[in-house]
Amino acid sequence: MEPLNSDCPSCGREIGSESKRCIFCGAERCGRKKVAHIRLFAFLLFIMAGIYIANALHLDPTYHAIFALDKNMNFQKVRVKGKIISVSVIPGKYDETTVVMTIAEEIGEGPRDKDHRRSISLKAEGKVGSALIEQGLPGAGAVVDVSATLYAGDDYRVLSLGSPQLLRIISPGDIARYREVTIDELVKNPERFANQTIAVKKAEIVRIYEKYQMHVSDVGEKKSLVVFGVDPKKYRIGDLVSIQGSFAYYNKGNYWEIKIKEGDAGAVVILLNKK
Amino acid sequence: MDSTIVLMTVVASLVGVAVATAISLIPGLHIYNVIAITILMYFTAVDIFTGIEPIVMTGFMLGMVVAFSMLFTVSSQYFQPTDESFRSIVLPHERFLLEGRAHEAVMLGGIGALAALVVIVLLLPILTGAIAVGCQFLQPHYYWILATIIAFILFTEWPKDHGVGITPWQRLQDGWVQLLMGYFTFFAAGVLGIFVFYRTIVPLDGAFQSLMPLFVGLFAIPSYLMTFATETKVPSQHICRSLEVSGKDIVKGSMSGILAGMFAAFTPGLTPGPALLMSGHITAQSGDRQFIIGGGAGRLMYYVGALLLFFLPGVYMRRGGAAINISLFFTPETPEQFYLIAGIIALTGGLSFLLLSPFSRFCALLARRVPFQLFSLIGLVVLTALVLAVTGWPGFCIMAVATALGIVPNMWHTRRINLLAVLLVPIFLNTAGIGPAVARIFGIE
Repeated sequence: MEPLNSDCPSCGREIGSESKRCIFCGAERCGRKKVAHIRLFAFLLFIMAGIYIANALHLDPTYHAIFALDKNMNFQKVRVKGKIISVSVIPGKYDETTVVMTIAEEIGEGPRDKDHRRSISLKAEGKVGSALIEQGLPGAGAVVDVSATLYAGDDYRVLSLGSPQLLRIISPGDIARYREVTIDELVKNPERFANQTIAVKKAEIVRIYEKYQMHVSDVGEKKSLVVFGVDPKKYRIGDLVSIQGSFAYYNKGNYWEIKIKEGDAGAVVILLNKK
Repeated sequence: MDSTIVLMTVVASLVGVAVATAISLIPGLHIYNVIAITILMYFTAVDIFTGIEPIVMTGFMLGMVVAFSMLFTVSSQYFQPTDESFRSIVLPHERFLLEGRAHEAVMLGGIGALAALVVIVLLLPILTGAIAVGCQFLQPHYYWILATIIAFILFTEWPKDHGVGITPWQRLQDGWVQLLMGYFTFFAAGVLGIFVFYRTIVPLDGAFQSLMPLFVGLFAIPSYLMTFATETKVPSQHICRSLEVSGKDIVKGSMSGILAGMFAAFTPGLTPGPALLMSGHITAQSGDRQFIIGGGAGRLMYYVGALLLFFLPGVYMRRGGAAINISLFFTPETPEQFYLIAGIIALTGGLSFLLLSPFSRFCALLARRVPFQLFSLIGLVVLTALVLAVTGWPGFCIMAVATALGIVPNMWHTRRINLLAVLLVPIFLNTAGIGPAVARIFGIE
């Protein structure tokens, strides 16, 4: 009970210590709730906040099986886990890029005759694609966790990525063995990187030869390096590419080169096609 | 989920609370007006915001929405007293202000808001399935629900002045003019809404806030103008340490407000005002305290609850300006994001409630020292500048027309709820499928 001083506890006017109700505002002096007690309920909210945020940090996600994604789940948001089989970057008409990755289930859980359904394409278009390139594309062999929207019909299935943050690399796969360098670093100090698997994030094609060879340099730089093992037909002078391969000294030609692994779809990826 | 992203989102939400607390000092400035400014900054100041993850920005806006819905009516209560001519129809929180008990009214509203927050944080995540089913169930029925609400608003219009006419003609006027002006307000607002929905003159780049000039003109500007005109003297406010409220008042008031807020959150075009009117009848709400508590609960349930519906897995419903504006740059995808959002709502809600008392004390101090008209002047300048910046001169024209209509309830002492026809009527016509036909009658389709 409010100690009975002479003021009204609601409006603060003097009403004397004996009256139980204020003669000015009509407020009662007894049976009131203290504001300090009500504030304690706010701490219940803080406890709930802690529980929810802890859940957000440690929640075990539920994944959809890739082979089970079909037209009945069209437009639904799904979450899949799989290994990247290939990565390609498709430049668009208006300087936007589309990144397309093929993701396959790590463990085949579907019936044998549906093996072809164990992989699916993941598309990241426009700003999302550009942001993915900026932060570094996962390479072939990387295991990823993706949340995306499924678009599926009778004879097509594709996942559309809404944000780069929804593609999480669980294990980098082959990337882990690649050491990230620039062309300039390779040219200046080749012995340091001899016989190592390296990755160049961005380089420009400055010359193309017929016999599976091309020269690349850092963008805007003059010093170039040979890349051996790619089919030159797919590329043009001026293209920006990312490269993964082994760096070694070619004795017969007396020069250092980046040798591409045969059949590696992610070895040289076009980032921007200069038409 | 990445712990860095979680931490940044939490910090951003706390920054949002701070920003909302500062901006809440301007009476009449609505949450959605501030979100409009934030969206503009996010999209135009690309160099500054380009590195910010969309979910971090969402956290910032959430913090703003939660804090705003708790705090934004406090300044209106202190700095926008009603004119003396409204004495016979004064609302409870206005009566409390004139008795020097505005702080008590603020805390009562805060109790309602706290109750709504607890329900949102505890129950909504559990009821996801039921909510999703409820949405599917209600969707085909929106048109007649809105028609019923419109009928309710019209039928509950009644003359409020106590009739002082001497001649029979004056007494006839006392009985009917107010009623007819209420109906006129409803009809005119409905027509204005149809024009804005079907043939808005707001330019395309301001279209994401095409309703802003309308609402600013209908509600905010007339309030400011009435503040300039009023000669009311606001007494000194007492900062109470206890509240005259019973458990029954808290339960009934909160129930009424939560019901109103949920109803408004689900139903397109419905705002907490009319929803509270109906829920008050449903729950047999009585007394000023239950009304104030219900108001606080209804507002918070509407703004925050509607926003949480956007993040609920399986629901993803966009209701209210906040969800619509956030959806421009962020789409919720995973359950972890939902848990993070729910946690942020709980955290910022608790913090906002703790801020409520000091904020109210600060407003009481300002009310004693600063003329309340100054706050309305600042609000008038800010909102007019915002309308011009976002929607240009066409938006300003809409605001001017809406202001002329918004003054009518103040001049004839009718209810301002009739102005909500600007939203209710076009949405009712659209959901009933007759919107285009009606627009053609007006020659605008």
